Amino acid sequence: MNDNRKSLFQERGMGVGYVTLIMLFAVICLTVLASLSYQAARANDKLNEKSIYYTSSYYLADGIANEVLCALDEAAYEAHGTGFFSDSFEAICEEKLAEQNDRVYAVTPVLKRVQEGFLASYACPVTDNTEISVKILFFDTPRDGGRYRIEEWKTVAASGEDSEETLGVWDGSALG
Amino acid sequence: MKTNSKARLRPANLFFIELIVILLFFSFSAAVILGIFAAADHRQKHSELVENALICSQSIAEAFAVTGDFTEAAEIVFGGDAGVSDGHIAEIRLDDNMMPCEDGEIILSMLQNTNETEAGRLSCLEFEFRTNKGKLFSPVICEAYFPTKGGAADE
Amino acid sequence: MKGVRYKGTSRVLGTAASLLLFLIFAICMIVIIGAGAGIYSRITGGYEATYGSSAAIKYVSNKIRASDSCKIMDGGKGIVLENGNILCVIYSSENGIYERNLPAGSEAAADGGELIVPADDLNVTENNGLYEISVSCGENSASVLVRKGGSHVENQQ
Repeated sequence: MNDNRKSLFQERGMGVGYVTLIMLFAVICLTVLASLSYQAARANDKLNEKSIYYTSSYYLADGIANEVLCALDEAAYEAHGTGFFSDSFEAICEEKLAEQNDRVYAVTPVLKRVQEGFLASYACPVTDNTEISVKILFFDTPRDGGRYRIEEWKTVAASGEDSEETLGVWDGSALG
Repeated sequence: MKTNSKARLRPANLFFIELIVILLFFSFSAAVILGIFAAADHRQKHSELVENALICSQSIAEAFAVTGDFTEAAEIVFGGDAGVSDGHIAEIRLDDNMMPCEDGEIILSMLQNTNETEAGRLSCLEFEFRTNKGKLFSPVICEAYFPTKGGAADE
Repeated sequence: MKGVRYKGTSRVLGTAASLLLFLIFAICMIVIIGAGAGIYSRITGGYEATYGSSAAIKYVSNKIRASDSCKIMDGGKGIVLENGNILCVIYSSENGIYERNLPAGSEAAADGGELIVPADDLNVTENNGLYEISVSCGENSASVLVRKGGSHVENQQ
C-alpha cells in the first residue's frame, strides 16, 4: 500500500498545467495594471497640455491687452499735449494703433464719449470661448495725477451677449 | 530504448519542462510589462514636474504684472534668496518643488525687454523651464504696462 | 540493487529541483505583481494629490480673474467674489473647498455651499497687490499668486 502511494506520487509528480494557469493569471494581472498605469499617465499628460495651452494663451492675451493700453495711453498723453484732448484723442488713437503689430491692431478698441472723457472698450481672445474684457476711462483732464482709470480687466465668456440670455426654466407656475 | 523514452515522458519530467518553458515565457512577458511600467512612471513624474512648473510660471507672470521687473518678481515668488541680479537676463536653478537650489535639475531662464515711451514703460518678460533633457513646455510671455507722468488714477 | 537506489535518489533530486524552480517562479511573480501594483497606486495616488490641489488653485484663480471685486474672508479661509449680480463665496470646510452663489447684497456666510474639490485646507493671503492662494491636499500642497482685480490701477504710479 505504502509502495503503491509512493510510486503514484513519483509517477504523477505535481499536476501538469496548473503552473501554466497561474502564470497566465499573473501575466493578465500585470498587463491590465501596466495598461491602466500607462493610460493614467497619458491622461495626466493630456491634461497638462491643456493647462499649458490655457496659461500661455491667457498671458499672451493679457500681454496684447497691455500693448493696446500702452498705445491708447500714448495717444492720451499726446492728445493732452495738444490742448484739445476731446477733439484729437480718437484720431491719435487710430494713428498709434496703426503703428502697432498686427495682433494688437486686430483688437480694435471701441471709444465711447462719456461725461468724464472717453471710455475705451476692447477684448483680447484667450481661447475660443474666453476673452479678457478691458474697459478704460481716459479723462478729459488728468485727475488725481492720472490720465486714465481701469474700469474693468477680467476674463469673460467670449459669447458675452449670449450668456446674458436667460434659460427657459420652470418658474413654479402651474403646468399646462 | 522504449523504457528510456517512457522515463523521459514521466509527469515529473513533464512538470520540470513545463516550469522551464513557463519561466522563459514569464521572464519575457515581465520584461515587456516592466518596461511599460517604467515608461508610465517616468511619464507621471514628468507630468508632475510640468504641473509644478506651470503653477510656478503663473506666479512669476502675476508677480511680474504687478512689479514690471523680473528681479522683484523672482524675489516675491522665490523669496529673497533667488539669486537674481539686476539686468535683462537671468537663470535660476530649481529643485523638483520649484524652490531655488544650487544643484537643482530645473533651470528657469528669464529674459526681460523694456520699451520706454514718453507716456510709460511696457515691460515684456519671456521665461522658460528646462531640464537637461530639454524644455518642459514652450516659453511663457507676459507683459506689464506702467504709465509715467501722471498715468493711472486710483479707483 | 545499487541501480535502484541511484534511481530513487535522482528522482528525489529531480522533484526537489522542480519544486525549487517553482518556488523561484512564484517569488518572481509575487515580486513583479507587487511592484506593478505599487507603481499603479503611486501613479493614481500622485494624480489625485497633485491634481486635487492644482485644480483647486486654478479654479480659485480663474474665479478671481473673472470677478469684479474680491474680498478675503476672516482668517483667510475663503474669499468673497462679486461679479455683476452674483456674490460667490469660496471657502474651505470639512475636508473640502466649497462654493456658494448668492444674490449681490446678501450676507457672505461660509456655509451651505457645494463641494468643488476635496482638499484639507484653503488659505488666501494678500501681499504686494497679489493674492496668494494655498491649497493643501494630504501631503501635497500648492500655492499660486494672482494679481488683485484692478491691480493695474492701484499699483501704478
